[in-house]
Amino acid sequence: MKNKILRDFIAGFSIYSIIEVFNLFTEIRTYPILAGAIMVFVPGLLLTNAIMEIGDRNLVSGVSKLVESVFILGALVLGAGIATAIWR
Amino acid sequence: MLLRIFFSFFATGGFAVIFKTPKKSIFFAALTGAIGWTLYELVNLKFGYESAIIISSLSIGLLSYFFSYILNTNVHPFIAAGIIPLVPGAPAFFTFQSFIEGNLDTASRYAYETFVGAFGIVIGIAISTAFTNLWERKKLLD
Repeated sequence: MKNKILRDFIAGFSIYSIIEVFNLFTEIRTYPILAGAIMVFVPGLLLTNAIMEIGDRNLVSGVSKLVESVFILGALVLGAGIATAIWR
Repeated sequence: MLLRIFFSFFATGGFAVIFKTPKKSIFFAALTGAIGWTLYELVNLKFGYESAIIISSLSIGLLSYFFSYILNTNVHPFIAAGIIPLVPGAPAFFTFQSFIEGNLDTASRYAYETFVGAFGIVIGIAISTAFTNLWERKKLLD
C-alpha cells in the first residue's frame, strides 16, 4: 500500500478494534490505552519540527510538514472514530 | 510521579531505537529525556504547564549539546529523542477526536494545549541553540 493516508487509517481502525476485542474479555479503560497505543503513529515530532523550521525561515518545508501532520492526524482519528461507530 | 519519571526513561530509549540512534548514544539520549521530564514535573507543580514546557525543553537542548560535546557525535539524535516525552501527541489526537464527537469546548482546550506545547518546545530549543552558538563563536575567536 503506497498511500500514507490509507495506511494511517488502517492503523487507527485496527488499534481501536484490538482494544475492543480485549475489552470483551476483561474490563479495561479505553481512552488511556488508546492514547498510549496510538502514540507511535501520532505526528507530534513532525508538528514540532514544522514549527521549528518555520522559525528558521525554511517556509516551504515547514508548511508542507505542518499540512502533512494535520492530514496524518485526520486519517488516524477518522479510523478510530469509524471503529467506534462500528463497535458501539 | 516517580513511576512516571522512571517510565519516561524507557519511553525515550524506545523512541531512540525507532529513530535509529547509534548504539553507544542510546543510553545518553534516554537520560536526556528522563532529566527533561523530571524538570517538567517539578516546575509543573509550582508554575503551571506553559513555563514547565519552556524550561524543560531549554534544559533538554543544553544537555544534548553537552552530551554531544562529550561523546563527539552530532546533536540532532539527542534533541529528537529527548523532546519525545514533552511532544504534544496525545492532546493533538484528542483535539481531532473531540472535534469529530462534537464537543467544541473540550476540543478548544486540547488545541490550546497542543499549540502551547509545540511553540514552547521550539522556543526552548531555540534559546539553547543561541547560547551554544554564542559559546562556540567565543571559542573560535580565542
